[in-house]
Amino acid sequence: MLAVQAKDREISTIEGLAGKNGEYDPLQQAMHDHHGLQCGYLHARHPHDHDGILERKTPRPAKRRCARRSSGNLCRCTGYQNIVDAVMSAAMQMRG
Amino acid sequence: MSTRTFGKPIKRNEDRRLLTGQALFIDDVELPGMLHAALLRSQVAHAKIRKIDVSKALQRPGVVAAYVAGDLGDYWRPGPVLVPPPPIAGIVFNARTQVPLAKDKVRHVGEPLAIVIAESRYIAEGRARRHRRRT
Repeated sequence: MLAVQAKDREISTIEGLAGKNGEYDPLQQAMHDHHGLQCGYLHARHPHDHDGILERKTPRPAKRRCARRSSGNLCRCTGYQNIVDAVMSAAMQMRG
Repeated sequence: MSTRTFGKPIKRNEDRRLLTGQALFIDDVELPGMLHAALLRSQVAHAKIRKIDVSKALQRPGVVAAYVAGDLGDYWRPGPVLVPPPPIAGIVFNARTQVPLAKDKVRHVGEPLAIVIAESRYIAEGRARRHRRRT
């Protein structure tokens, strides 16, 4: 996405996910719990790939859907399995 | 045997800074007077090098230096053996290490031919790439 495409829009970055006291949001926590990151280089983007899935509060997001959302983010550390596990876990938790 | 490290997952200490965007990667490092290097790399697997002319690259504002193998003088030599052979009696170990820039001949795609040092990554990469087009 080019900066100009974000004109008049609200932008949330990885820094904006955690709470005021530094507590993890559910996806950050799940990423930590499931080893959804290793080098963390692409982690500024991973959570945003899955925003749609989490915001829609899909009752039970399909694993394949999670995997597809990750496809624009080349992660050579985790092999994606742990990322998908983390997203699934966060989705279930946010669903309550 | 400790059960703290065996038989159960271990939470990583480095996750917090990575998950909250506080991590520092090489690309984030800015130092005063920092320069950027870009390599011109071989496009072919096996070839003789007739000539590499870096004079045009040097004319570009922002380019600080450009070197080919011949410019490196005594620095041009095979690098050290970083992992020595295991101390096994009678072992035959043929050390073959890389040279910094190819001289006279390239032996694999991607072998460095020249290095451009510039004030920005943009200029350095650009100069190296222009070179590639002409060779």
